[in-house]
Amino acid sequence: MAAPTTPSIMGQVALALVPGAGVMLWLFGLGVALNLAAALAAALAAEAAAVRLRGYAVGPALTDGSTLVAGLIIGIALPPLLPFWIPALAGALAVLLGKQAYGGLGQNVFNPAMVGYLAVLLAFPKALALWPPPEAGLGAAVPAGEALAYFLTGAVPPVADAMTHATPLDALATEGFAALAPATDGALRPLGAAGAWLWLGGAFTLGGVALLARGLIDWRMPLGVLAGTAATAGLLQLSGGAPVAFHLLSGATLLVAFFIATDPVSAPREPGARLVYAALIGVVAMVIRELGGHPDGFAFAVLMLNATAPLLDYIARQSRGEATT
Amino acid sequence: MLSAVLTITAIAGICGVGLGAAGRRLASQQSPVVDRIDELLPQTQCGQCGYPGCRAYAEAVASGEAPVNLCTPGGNATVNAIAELLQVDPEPIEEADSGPKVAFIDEDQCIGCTRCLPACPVDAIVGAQKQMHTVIADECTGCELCLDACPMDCITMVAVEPPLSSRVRPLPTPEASRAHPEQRPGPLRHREVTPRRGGVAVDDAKHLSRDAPVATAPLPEALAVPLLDHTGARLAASVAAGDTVYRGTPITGMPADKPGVPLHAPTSGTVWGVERRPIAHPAGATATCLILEPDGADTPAAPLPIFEEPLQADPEALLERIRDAGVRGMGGAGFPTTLKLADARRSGVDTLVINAVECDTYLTCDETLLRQRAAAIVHGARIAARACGADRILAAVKRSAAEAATALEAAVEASDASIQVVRVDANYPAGNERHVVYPTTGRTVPSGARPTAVGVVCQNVATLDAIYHGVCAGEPSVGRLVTVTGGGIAARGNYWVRVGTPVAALIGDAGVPGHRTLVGGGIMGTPITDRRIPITHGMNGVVLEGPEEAPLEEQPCISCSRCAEVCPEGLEPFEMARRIRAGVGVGEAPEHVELDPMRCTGCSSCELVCPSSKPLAAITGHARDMARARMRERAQAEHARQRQEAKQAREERRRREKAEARQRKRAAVTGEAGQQREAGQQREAGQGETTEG
Ligand code: SF4
Ligand code: SF4
Ligand code: SF4
Repeated sequence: MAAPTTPSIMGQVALALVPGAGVMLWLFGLGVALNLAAALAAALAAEAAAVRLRGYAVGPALTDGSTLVAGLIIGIALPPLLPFWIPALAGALAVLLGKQAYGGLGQNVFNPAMVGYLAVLLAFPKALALWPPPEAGLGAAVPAGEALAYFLTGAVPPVADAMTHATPLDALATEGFAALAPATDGALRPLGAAGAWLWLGGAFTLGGVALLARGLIDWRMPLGVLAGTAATAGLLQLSGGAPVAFHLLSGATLLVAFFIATDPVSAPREPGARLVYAALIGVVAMVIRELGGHPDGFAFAVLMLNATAPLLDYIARQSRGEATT
Repeated sequence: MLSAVLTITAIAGICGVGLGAAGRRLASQQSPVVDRIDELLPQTQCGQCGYPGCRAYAEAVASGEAPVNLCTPGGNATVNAIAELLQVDPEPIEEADSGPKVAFIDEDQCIGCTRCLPACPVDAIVGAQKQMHTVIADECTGCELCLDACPMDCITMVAVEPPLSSRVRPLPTPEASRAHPEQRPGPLRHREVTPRRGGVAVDDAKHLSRDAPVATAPLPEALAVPLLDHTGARLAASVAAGDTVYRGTPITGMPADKPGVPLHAPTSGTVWGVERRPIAHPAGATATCLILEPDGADTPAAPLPIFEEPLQADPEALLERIRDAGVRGMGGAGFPTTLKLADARRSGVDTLVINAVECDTYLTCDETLLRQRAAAIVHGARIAARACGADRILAAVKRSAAEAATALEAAVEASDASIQVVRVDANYPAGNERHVVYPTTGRTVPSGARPTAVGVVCQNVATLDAIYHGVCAGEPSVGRLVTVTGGGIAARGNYWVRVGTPVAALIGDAGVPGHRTLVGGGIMGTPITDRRIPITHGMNGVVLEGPEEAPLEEQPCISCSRCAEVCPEGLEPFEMARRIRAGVGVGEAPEHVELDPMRCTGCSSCELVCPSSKPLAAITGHARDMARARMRERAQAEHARQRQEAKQAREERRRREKAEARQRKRAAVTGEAGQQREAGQQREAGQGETTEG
């Protein structure tokens, strides 16, 4: 294997995100591309400006690939129809608040992409709750022209009807388990598009497995996240929660398991601590999703566990005993 | 909404309590600041700071009433350390010339007044009334208190050269590496690098020098032999300027009290004298070298008596011969072989491993030697086994060095020895003697221990060759095979070189400007900038870096923990580097085993795989040097303290004895009544003493 460099590692992570981005594009159309472009452009601009102001060389900072990965994750995580300032703000805040405020690459406590994502989620809860129905064939539900117009102006969302469609998670959070029950017309109502969501999960897994195979991510992270998610979801299912498989296969779970929890900077360093960290992300996310009122349990869970990473490391080292020399 | 507010409040509350508890626990682990400052002070107790002793000054600094820069004996190093501890600006002291000093008494002027004796707090001055006095340099702390006591002003402070072991290599910074790329520490860049647990699979560049012809380097105009023993302490020359020496003439005496190994003249010629010359050292040190001008004839001195039947010889006699022949570890360490074998003998080893796993990716000198002198090596191994009492010999050869392995097998075949040749799959650093033991013998050397702990002693092939020549030909070890290689030089190959040959004589002015020249290999090599640096016994290669092989510019660490995965010692280099660069705990005992720079062997595996090209091994090396220097300082300070206490106790005793004698005298001259009064007084005094004691 070629000697690793930071840009090559980040580049491969970005490459592994491509299948997921592709499926998003295929399901939701132009909006996804616009989001990605806005988030990336803003993130790179913010990075360049911040690094410049801090008096470091701009070139290496832009080419290390970490901003690219953060921008990609934000573009994928956001709903596909948004006025441009939302993804742009998310990208810029990810870099500025999530990374540069701590001193740049390698210093940040929180995962930058999640910081950016949560910032706009809390700032624009309405806009971010709206997902068009996934429809294979480049998002046939929303014509490209209308998507573009909305992206540029942020005026009335196109096809108001389609935009009322919520993700299965939203439905679950607001309507409870009933959301999953077959509707009168015999079809799974909000989960009608479950097949489409499975595609997305599959694409993330594909990228993630490629990263695992190349030894670029630690297997403890995906394993921990999935185990934590499954165990908690299983417990909660006993008291009337959604099926375990539903949680495990949702795009967000797999995106977090393979691409977000695996961010080494914001994760603990000790192998044992990493396993606990990943598992706890799954647990906390499930608790928030099922018992709390918010469908985006994972973003919160990641940030919470980011904050505990140093403590987990400390405990792990402590439990292994003191130096003897 | 309400529930969200409640949840967040609850979470915040729990986090707050947790942080508070953690903070308190962590805080209680730190010793009070006065103790920590006191530890940093040199404990000369000289009072130059204006406070009565180091402790009082530490208290004054801690309370903020004294600035941090009053301790002159400690120098700027101490000022910086205290400033770092307290997070204040160091405000360096003005030092005319830094470095340790000791008092020196001009014996021609000394009138023997003994006034300096009581002034010295550590009893470093010896002398008697009307005799000239002298200072024991090893005991003098440099406090300067004796200067004022001398009525003749015959005491001066003279600079002494700090010992090599107290030199600390600088902490590498990205700025320094950018400004001086030719001095940047760290391995050459390798194209194919795959992290493995506890090692690295790395492509090697041995083809550069493997098949090049083997040549003998011509004798240079002058040879410079560093007069150092393996600990970095100075050896005294036993020859003087103008002396004629022959190849193999001992040039250092052997102090009876130190387990030293002599150095020998590498060729015949005239001794020019001694001079300080730069030597290869991570901290860029200089050392006193014996300069020898060869006469070109290379006349050998009379050989040492030859052992006819070395395999039947007395092991002690063999050990002595290996010492007299000046055999040193040629795998890089330069540790006296006789000491290593004697130690192995004491710990009762049963196996000797011929270490032919040359795991550096550039060097081929061991391989070449095996191809040329396998028979001598096999014989040397049998002698070494006899000397250390091992009854089994195994040989470890890298699987990829097939030709060398075949040569060794043929030599084993030809002799009547039963030596098993094991071919090992070599991930870097498989050639480290701790790591070669397992694949060869199946025994695991515990972390932090040496192979003798499991009954094994390893010997490098070049060392075994030197043993053979020392024992069977009576020739001292004065030369070695050196690999010259790298993308920066065309004349690559292996050269027979005499110890003391300047690197320049070997490579001339070859090399790419702005790129490095490393001695000792492509991974653990030390960058040198001065080509006058002489070749020594342990120096197995000179590598000139080509542009393709230069390390990339350092990037921020992304905590990918590859370095921790590959570290054969189970350390966490990135976490160590982070702390060391932040100045946390440098030179102190580490909090956790995996953050202990003393366990780092400097193998640079971590650096090979680091995607951010961080100079990890040099960062931990800096911390290791600091820890060593600090340990030395502490030991010295403790020694000084003990001497001072001993002196105080002695003075106290003397005072008391005098007082008692006086009283006895008075008791003898006074009458009966007086005696009774005296007795009462004495009883009182006695009570006073016991309570005091
Ligand atoms: S320790 Fe101080 S008093 Fe004693 S000899 Fe050295 S400088 Fe003089
Ligand atoms: S140089 Fe030290 S820290 Fe790095 S891998 Fe080797 S032993 Fe571990
Ligand atoms: S020092 Fe290098 S190898 Fe180690 S964690 Fe940091 S980036 Fe990775």
